Amino acid sequence: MVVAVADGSELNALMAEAYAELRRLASFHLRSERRAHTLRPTELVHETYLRLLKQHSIDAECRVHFLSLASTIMRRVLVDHARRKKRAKRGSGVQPVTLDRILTETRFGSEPEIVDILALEEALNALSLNDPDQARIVEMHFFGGLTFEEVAQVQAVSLRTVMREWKFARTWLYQHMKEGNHENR
Amino acid sequence: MKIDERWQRLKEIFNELSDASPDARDSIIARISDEEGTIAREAKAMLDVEQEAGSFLELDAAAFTRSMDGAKLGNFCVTREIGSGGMGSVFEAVRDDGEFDQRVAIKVSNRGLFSTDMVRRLLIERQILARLEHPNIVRLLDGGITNERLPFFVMELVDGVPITDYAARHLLTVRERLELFLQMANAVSYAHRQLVVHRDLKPNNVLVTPDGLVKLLDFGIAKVLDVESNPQTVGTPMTPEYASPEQIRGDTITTASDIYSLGMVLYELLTGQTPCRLYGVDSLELSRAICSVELPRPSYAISDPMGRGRLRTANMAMNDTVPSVDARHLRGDLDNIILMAIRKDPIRRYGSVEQFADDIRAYLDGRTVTAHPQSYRYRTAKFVRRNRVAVSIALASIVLVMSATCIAVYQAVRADRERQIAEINFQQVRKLANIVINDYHDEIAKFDGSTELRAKLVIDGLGYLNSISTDDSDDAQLLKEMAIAYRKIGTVLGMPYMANLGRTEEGIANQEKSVELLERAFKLAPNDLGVRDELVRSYANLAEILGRRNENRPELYEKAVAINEVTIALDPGDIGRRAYGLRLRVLMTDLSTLDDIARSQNYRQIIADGEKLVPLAPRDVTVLGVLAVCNERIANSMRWNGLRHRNENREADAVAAWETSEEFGRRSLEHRLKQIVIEPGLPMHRRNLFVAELNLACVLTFLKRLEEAKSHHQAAKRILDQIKQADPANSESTLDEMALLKNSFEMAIEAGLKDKAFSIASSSAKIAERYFRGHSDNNEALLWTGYFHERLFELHQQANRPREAERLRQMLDALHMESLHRFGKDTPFSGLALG
Repeated sequence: MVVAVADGSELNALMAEAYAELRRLASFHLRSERRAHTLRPTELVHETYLRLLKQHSIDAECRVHFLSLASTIMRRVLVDHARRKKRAKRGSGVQPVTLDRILTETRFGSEPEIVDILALEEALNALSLNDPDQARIVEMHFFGGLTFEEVAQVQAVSLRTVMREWKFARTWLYQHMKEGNHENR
Repeated sequence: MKIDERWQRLKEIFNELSDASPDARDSIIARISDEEGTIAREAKAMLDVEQEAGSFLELDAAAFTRSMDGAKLGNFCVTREIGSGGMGSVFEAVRDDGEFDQRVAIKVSNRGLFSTDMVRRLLIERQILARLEHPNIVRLLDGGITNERLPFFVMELVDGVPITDYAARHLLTVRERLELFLQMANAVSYAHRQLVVHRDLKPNNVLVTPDGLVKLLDFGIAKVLDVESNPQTVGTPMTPEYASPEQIRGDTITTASDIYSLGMVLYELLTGQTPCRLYGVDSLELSRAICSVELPRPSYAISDPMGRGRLRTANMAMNDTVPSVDARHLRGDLDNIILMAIRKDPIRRYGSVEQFADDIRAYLDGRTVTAHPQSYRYRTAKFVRRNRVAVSIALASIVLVMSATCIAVYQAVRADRERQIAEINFQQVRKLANIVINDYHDEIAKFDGSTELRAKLVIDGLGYLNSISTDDSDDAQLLKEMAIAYRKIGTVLGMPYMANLGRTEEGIANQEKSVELLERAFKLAPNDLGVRDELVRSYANLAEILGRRNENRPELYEKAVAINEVTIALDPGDIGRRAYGLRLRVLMTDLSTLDDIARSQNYRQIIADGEKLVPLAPRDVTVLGVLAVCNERIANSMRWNGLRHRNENREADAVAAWETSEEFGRRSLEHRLKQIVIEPGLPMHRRNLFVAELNLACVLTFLKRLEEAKSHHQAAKRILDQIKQADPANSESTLDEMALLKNSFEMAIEAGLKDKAFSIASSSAKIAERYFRGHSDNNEALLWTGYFHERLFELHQQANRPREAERLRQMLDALHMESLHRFGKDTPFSGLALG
């Protein structure tokens, strides 16, 4: 599989811009409490991509690479935000809106699910100690909204492999986070 | 066992268990050796949790696509996804009722309809839309609501690309692009007659099939989905790029909104510039820009001669050049047509798409278009623009015809015979002369390199007026017309800071003559607004040109301001006159004997008054000019203050002054850029932009921010090169060159490059001296000559070259004598008066 990633410096410049754009979009969404319950990180990533696409000539094949990089940024943006929120919570003593929990609609039309971003971050870090590739797959799908086909393209492996790794990774994370919760209580 | 290996085993066992049926799992675990027992139990525990995890971390995007594949919508079965965007997804589908094999496109919105009211409205709209039958409109075949309460629309499947891509890919000519656009306009016009407004026209909704047929998508769907209701919301996937100001403000949407969007699509089709790029903002700021910022003429946007690209370097990588369209094709009619379609005020746009399309057809047929408000001047402009060489030949023939007529008229008047015929001829000559003096001259003045032709035009024109009149006429209007001619001659001969022939003395004589005639006209018709305005202008021009001879006559401006204030009171609605009044106040302040602080106070007051006029006339170049000038004056004054502080070793005060200067200088530059965007062709704006860039370069040099200084210096240099290249006969540019060289010199000094500084000073001194010899009455030339020789003298002294220094001292002494003679006092050449 050949993926033409333009010249490296160009992509870097693009990512710098993407980072600024993502931060701006995310902070807007996260600041507005009314909107907090509809925040979908992957939408932000795709929107950022579309915005940049209008301003630059991004090779169509670069798209998945862009999205995979953007997913890392998105993760960082959300985690930073959750941390700040947590510090503020400690300081003020006021019961805050649960902005550190990102709500994702996991299936079309079904009940949305709340994911605790900081817990996920901790679990993901633990997972990547064992298996960085699996952590990447989760990151790309969950934070970047890449389909598994796209993840397979980025990782240069078969779709079957991605699906296997994904199943394992997400189960492991779920278990890890569940146990983490018990420990906290 | 190492951690890596253990993890690997865990994954293997997990996968194996996961693949196996639940019954088989126990036997698999039993087979695993004791050594790996804990790993196996761990894998089993994970597998148990797996069910519980449900759709943990799994996203809708993937789920959605899966759920649609093979799904049935109405009588259609989805076969594949064609694309998806912020609004929803588009799928290809086939009819599955066995009736016939029809492939269709189905657009599924991602915005749910959650009230029966919305559903009812959708159904009504669907019926209306289904009635639209036009070869250029994609048929709406069906529509409905999915199980997830998402509206969907079944449409004819089109194999095509967006109109802008099509034009770019096929390198279409302007004519071909316009013909495509007409297909689009026809479709919109048809829909408007059916009372359907599109509301979301954009290149992506206008597809062109491989055989060149335009197909419009999504007619009226925006209304059904109500997407235009809140385009300002950040994060709303729909960008307002092609939306009209009233759409963005949430005002009533009419056919005029579609006309606007059509105009924007045409703008992009001909220039290759997307609205975001044109406004130079990103999509978050776009809404505000659409409502408040006027776009440049398309011909300007396409040539992008300077500046705008520089302001948004991030966009430079775009591959949107339109090689087959040349700015020349757009200048004039197409500029006017597009700008008319995209006016901010819907009432001032074309009355209908049909009118818009008619103008395009007129353009294509070479007929007169309606898009120009001033049709008389416009026709003149059209004539002049067609070909400059042809124009001068044509003018020569007009001149011949006129001289013949003049002689006839003159004789007729003298003989006092056939008075009636004479009167008719008299009026004809008068009209022709005025056309030449005003319309032709003013149009030609917009061209670079036209200085000599302009001089000839007005002098000839005046000749004809003189031949049918005398200076002691008692016709106020005729006196006014002659006075205008004298004033224009005066300007073209030697008006400071405009392209001129450098003949100051003759210029002054003509300006005086103009004032004299107007004073008489003023006495004859004191309430005539036109006469009053011209008198004000002539006073101002006389004062300005006298300044070139270092003759400061503030009372001339005071007179002009006094007359103008009364005229404003007589006719307060004229914004142009009020703007001009501000300009006069600037000039009056310039010449006043006030001290620096009081003067700056005046400029600040004028800025404040000027900013009040901006909302009334956002595109008034005079107001922008006044704002630019006042900011520039304060910037200059602070820059000079800084120099004085530095000379007196108060470094901190100097830096503070320069920083203030920088702030005002940047504001001035901003206004200058706006001016040139509004009137890109005018040489004067280019010159002003040069000054603004150079001043900024200068103060940044003093602030030792050499990198920034260099970039503004280079910008200034580029502009000056353009000026010189465009109009080699204009002698003013040599003086500008001096100012540029002075800055080069200072940059070299600040950078510690002594040798470079020396070579700059030495070559500049030569250029200045040569110019001064050719224009000995020009005071600025004297100062520049003195300035560079003095710098050279200093450098020789520092380098301990007494012989060279002595030679220069003699030269400087002579120059100082000359300056003493001219200014009544010895003016230092230190650069204070220049820098």
